[in-house]
Amino acid sequence: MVVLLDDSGESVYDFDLGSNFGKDRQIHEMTEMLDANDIDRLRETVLCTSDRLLDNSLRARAWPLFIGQDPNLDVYMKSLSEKTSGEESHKDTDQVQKDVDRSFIYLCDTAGEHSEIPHLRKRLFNVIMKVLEAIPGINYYQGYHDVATMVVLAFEDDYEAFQFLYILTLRYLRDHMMTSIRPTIKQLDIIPELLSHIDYDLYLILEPSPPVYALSSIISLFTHDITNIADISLIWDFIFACDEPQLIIYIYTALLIYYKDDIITDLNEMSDSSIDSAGSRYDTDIVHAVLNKFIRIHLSIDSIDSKLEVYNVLKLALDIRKKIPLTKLKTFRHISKFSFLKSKSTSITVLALQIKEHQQYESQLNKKRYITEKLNNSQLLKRELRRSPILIKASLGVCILGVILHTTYKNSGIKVGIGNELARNVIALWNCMKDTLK
Amino acid sequence: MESATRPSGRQHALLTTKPKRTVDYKIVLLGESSVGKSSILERLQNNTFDDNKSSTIGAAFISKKVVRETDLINLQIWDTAGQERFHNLTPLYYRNSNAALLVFDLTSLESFKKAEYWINELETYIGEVELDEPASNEGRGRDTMKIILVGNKVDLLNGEACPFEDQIKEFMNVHKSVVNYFKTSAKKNLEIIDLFEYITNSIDDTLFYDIDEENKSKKGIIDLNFSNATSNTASSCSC
Repeated sequence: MVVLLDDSGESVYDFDLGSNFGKDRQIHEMTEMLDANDIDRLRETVLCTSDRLLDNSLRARAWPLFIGQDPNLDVYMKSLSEKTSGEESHKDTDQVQKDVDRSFIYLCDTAGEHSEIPHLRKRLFNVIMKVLEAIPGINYYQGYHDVATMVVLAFEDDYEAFQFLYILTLRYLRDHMMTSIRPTIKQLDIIPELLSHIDYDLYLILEPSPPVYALSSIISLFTHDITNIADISLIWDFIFACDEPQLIIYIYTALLIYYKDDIITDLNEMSDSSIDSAGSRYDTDIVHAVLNKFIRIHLSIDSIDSKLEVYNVLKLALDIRKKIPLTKLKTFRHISKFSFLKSKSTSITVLALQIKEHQQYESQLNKKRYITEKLNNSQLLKRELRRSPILIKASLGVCILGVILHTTYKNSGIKVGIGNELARNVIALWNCMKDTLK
Repeated sequence: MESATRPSGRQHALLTTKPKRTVDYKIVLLGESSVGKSSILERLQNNTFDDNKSSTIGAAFISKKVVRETDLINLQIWDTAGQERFHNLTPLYYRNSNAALLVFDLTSLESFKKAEYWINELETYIGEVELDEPASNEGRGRDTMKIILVGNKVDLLNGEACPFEDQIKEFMNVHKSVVNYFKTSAKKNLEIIDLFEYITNSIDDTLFYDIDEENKSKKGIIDLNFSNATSNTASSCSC
């Protein structure tokens, strides 16, 4: 196992692993803080407590306080239902249904009886659809349902689940819901650059693969790759208590560093040979494949061990955050100013601006692609022409002949329809070839 | 969970023979969401079927070693997400592939139409590659991607013909790049073995490299051209 960062500075938060507090007493204290609406103290307590929020009833109360609520949501939903009643179903309905039908698989143990699953799926579907309808212009993605699954489990009340998922979507997920996946990819690009500042060796090892390996973890807020609900809950408690979306990136990077030795072992196993000499690289697909599932494999399923591992990873994430603010990174500058990594706004108006900016960006990109395609085509033609010199020579011959014919006809004043047309065609061909050969 | 119903192919009988040559063979699965791509791979890998299988996000990877006579075949398979918004990423997965399986659901015309989308994308890609790197005369010959159409969930047809059989025939006629068509059921374990036996049996000889030489040459070759798996075979063609 990798040793934690050798950090000379002290850590912001010390995790109270050997807590003497009784669990009941902690729950009692937290409930008091919640009753008194003392959010700041609750945040601090959660960040220092080994069990974090301890149980779901506390979570259902604390999470919305941590990440905020929309006080006007009721009114807004009412006006929305008046406006949209009787309209056709949402464009993503089918995809949501397909994913909901395949949900609550890892959760069977915690969800209790197997017979509860149909009910949970129904709730999940309704909550997702309600958020999609409430936020105009966003697109559902596979993985969003994994996030919503956690929400449905934490909140027994459907409307509370909806309220929380609504804010969570705007504050922590909106970049992933634009018309294309590009804003997500730009977020993923931060990971290798961040890693290069913390562990350059690991950065070099992973470099052959683009960071799409992190996709499922990032867009599902780790729910797709961590199968133990208790572990996900600890991570969510931590992120929400800090209320900092950037932590998602930091935690992923911390996972890479924390499991470095295991990752290297996996890479060697898959490569069938260990890479010893400097400068050697692993195959792109192998790096990609190993990273694609390292969290699922190495974050222990044994709950006691995994709890400790999650603490260490979160501590590491905070250390990295302290050392390297994202603003230092080049890839971070490429991120839209409306991204949730930069703007914590949960306003629909800001989202509308983000969507507009994204669409403009996409249409520019399409234009560029069109031009590049044209260029590529003309270059192919050029290459083809070069490859067949005889053809070129022959065409040149015809061209010169054409030019001569043309001038001859012109000078002699003879107007022969067919001849003229031929000459004009030949000249046009000549011009065309000149263009391509340029 | 359904347990194993029959041993997978003839591989087990020949495990005692020491393999003489080997190949890394890359396969990608493409197709609409929920047609059974991951289930086909689960059947291949564990010979099991799980009615409750979660959606694939981004992509998933599996590998399987197959021994065939004196050949050791490392199947390296990318399973992709079906949702359209992930399509931008799929070139990452099919770019280095030796074979692509276009999977659709035999009871869903919609999913079959997606196969049309994928074949166009792949044919464009293959066209570009051939223009960029015209088949060399060095003997190894670029192994063009094998495209196979797979209609899954045949068990749901209950022995009746697929309602859009004509369109499938038409598809096979129009797209000559599609080399074969299988009707499979991951659930009932139908034709999955045939599909992968077809794939492993039709691997081009030039892609193999001798196992003795592997250790000597592999490391260096990765350095030279790690983006192109087929280059590993350049020095050890045994045809």
